[in-house]
Amino acid sequence: MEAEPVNPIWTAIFGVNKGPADYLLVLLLYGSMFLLIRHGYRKLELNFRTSFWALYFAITPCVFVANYLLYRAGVMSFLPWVNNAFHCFLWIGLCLTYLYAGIRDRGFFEQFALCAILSFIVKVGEHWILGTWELEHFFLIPGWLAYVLGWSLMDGLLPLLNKLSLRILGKYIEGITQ
Amino acid sequence: MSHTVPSDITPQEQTLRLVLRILSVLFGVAAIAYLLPSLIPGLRQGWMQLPFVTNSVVKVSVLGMVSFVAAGDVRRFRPLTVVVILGHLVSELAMILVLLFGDLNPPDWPPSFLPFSMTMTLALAMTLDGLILTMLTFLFVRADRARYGLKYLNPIEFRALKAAAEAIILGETEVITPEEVARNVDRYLASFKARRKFITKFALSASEFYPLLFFRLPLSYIPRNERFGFLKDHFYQVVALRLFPKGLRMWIQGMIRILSQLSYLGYYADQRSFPSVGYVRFSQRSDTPERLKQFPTPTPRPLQVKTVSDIREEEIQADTVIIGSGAGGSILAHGLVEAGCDVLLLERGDYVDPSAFQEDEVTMLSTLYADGALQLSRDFRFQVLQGSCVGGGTVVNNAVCFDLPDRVLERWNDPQGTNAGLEATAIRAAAAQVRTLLRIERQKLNLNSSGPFFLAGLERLGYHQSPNQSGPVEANIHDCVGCGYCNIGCRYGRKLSMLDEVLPLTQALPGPGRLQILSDCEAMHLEGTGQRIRSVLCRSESGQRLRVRANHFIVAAGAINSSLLLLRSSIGGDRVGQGVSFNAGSPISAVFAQKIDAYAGLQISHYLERDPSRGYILETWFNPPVAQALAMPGWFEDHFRNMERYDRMASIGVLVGTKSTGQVKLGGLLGSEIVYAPDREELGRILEGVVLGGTIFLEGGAEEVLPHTFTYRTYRSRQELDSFPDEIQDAEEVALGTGHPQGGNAISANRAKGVVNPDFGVYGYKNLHLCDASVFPSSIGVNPQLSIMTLAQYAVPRIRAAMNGNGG
Repeated sequence: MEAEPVNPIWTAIFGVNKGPADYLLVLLLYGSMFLLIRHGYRKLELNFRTSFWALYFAITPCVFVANYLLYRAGVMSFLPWVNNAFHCFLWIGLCLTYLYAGIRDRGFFEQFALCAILSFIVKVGEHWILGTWELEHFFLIPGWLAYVLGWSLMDGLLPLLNKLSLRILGKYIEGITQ
Repeated sequence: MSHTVPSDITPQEQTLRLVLRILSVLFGVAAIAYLLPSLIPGLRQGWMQLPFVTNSVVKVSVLGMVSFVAAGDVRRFRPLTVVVILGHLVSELAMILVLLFGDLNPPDWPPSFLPFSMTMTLALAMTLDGLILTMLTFLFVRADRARYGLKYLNPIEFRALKAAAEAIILGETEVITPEEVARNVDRYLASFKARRKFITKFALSASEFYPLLFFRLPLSYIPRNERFGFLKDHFYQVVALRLFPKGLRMWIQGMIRILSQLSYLGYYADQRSFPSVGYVRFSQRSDTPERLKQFPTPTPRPLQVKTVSDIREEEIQADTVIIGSGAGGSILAHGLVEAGCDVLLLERGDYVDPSAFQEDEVTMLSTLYADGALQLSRDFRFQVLQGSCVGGGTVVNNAVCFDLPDRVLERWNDPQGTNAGLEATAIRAAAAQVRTLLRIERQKLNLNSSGPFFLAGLERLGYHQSPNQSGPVEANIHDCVGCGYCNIGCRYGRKLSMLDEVLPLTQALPGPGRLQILSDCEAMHLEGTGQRIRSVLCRSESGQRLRVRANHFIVAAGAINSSLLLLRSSIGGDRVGQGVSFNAGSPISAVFAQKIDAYAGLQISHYLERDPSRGYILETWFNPPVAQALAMPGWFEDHFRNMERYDRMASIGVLVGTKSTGQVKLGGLLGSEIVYAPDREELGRILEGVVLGGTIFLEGGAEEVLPHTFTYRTYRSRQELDSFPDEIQDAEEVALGTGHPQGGNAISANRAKGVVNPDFGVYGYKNLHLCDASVFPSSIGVNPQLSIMTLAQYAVPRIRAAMNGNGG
């Protein structure tokens, strides 16, 4: 039986043999994680809303571009464009920033651990559903687990990045709350 | 010469009659149309094979005959119209089931003379039946509405109420018919300005159909002589004897409570019932002219109030906005205007000039309480009564003043506890300022006539002596004329409420500051950027929206509504609405041998506070007939008999400071809910207070005392009364209510424990302050208005300083 020819543009956008249905599953995963996050922090406090959207628009496009550049640099696997967009604009932008809004008053290690653990779950989920996050080393450390774990731990530093960004953004935007 | 007999039915009923007649003819024609083809060769075979033809003949014939009889007298044979409607409803449901689950392609379908598929045939039949159903229901409801002249209730609800009132108001000397009771209630509800009044509609509809669960006809169709038994067995006893599970029992208790309260409202608010209970309105009492002559009514101070509808813009600008015009908001407004600020006071309730106050309880309940009269906890068992008008609760409370107890302030300031960070000396100074402003004084004129019995009881028991505190209450009432209308607004200017005294005084203050008041203006959301609040989005009763921009915002909307506003605005985090407490109250009434007319005097006039504190205080208390009927123990004939003894009765309210275990939340059936149920320890204190109250009255000469419990109980001796606490299984048994919700946004120097800081700033916001009973870290156990005003007075310089500093 002759294999169906692979459309390279489709693959670049969605991934190998992946389509909207797979991304629906990814949305379901994000939704479940968001519910989990929201369980501990029910409403985005009014005084943090400006900060929330400032972080969203300042950081997520950067992460989106960075993911591609890191792939080109060979330290990250390729994330199909929709996967990258979902991961950056929905997961990091909305969910992890919402998580940050709820835990920003807590200790650094608690913030780090929560972000890293949830990030790890999402990366493994995306790997399972979309087959992405597939690389056999994290910089010089070999192994797939090292790769996923390594980047999850990097995500654990997101609160630090957010805090720093808010400090900088606060100089230019009115209404920024740390 | 022709004679025209005037029709005794309404034009709407005439239309219904006409339509029923037409339908009976059409059904008759349809029956013939079904039968006739079976006699015609060629069509006969097809028809004879279809068993539904004979069924259809029966169906349309019966419907035709029923419609014919119903049209004969649409009132007398009203239930037959219901049968025709229900017949069509059943037909619709049956066809839906066939469409969903039936075989739509039987082998012998379609017959030769029918060009439609089975699906199409059923769809056409459903359309036809649906049209008849809709038209008939519409005409039927319209006719019923016109017949009873209904303004708010629908006919089902009206009939349910009429039927219930017939059984609930049960005595030999009824002076108002059940239909009049239901009509009164319909009229009252139509004029009642409360969004939550739709609950009554739910309860009435549910009550009407509740008997179906027991294979009985709807409530209004149960024969009169059996209805009383049904209500007693299936509403009262299932709750009293706990025959149903707790969740279901809660709904049934809610239903019977609303049914009975509506019945009492319809009966005892009607002035024709007054002679039967021995009540005389103040304007008709023999000594009224003398009382008014002795203490002439002071000239009302002018108060300028605008409503949202007076404002043409969608957005206005102010310097300082205070949300809520009650005890907290008004004192804050006074202090800030005195300090030179421009203040805009927003109040969700209406402005009513005291000279427009009436003696009619229902009118005043509607005007001065609105939704505040219908606040119940989530389980419907705990009523949280609050005023909703310019002046807030101070217009409708009993004006009783107690200082913030030292022990409470110490507890609040405990560094290991809430750590409120309040300066005790400054608090005392603020209390003294408020006392001067409101001329708070010990009451001595026209006290409640139950007082001597109360004092006699105290003396016999030895509680009249120090260190216990007892005697007439202190109140911001001057030269009381004893009308007994504290809770429906004093029109004689004796209660120095925010409406009568503080707000007019504030508007008249000389200097640069000024006060503007906007009523019918409910704050829905606070809006802002970062740590600054920019505006508050408001809504009027009619739905008109107004955005008020300002530099400073102070929330003082009361324990329940301040929490709800913060929750709606996503301000204050997870602690908002938590730790709510109450002064839970439960009354006990006493019957005396002689007429004492307790209604004809200051509503709350005497109190007892034992030392060391037992966690409750007792206050004598009495009401005009509607409010008293709502709180009167007993059901059915017992209630009626007790109301007949209204002029021989007196009451004591037991006020227990609860723990901070309550919550105010968004969501639920009504969009927001109050969650609270007393625990065993709180219930124990309530019962102890009730027993003490009853004992005092028995010692003071009462013949019997009646605690307000779901199951009716009376006690004629101290020995009998002592067993009362053992008879109470849990809080479900005891009638509980409060006018004193507190907490929800605790004040604390520790950000992790509070919503506001010791300077009343909301944590996380530079120009938002909050000061009302919601900042209380715990219940204070006494009437809280003076404590609220004291905190507001104390807050003024602190808020002013914040306005001039970071928040400015």
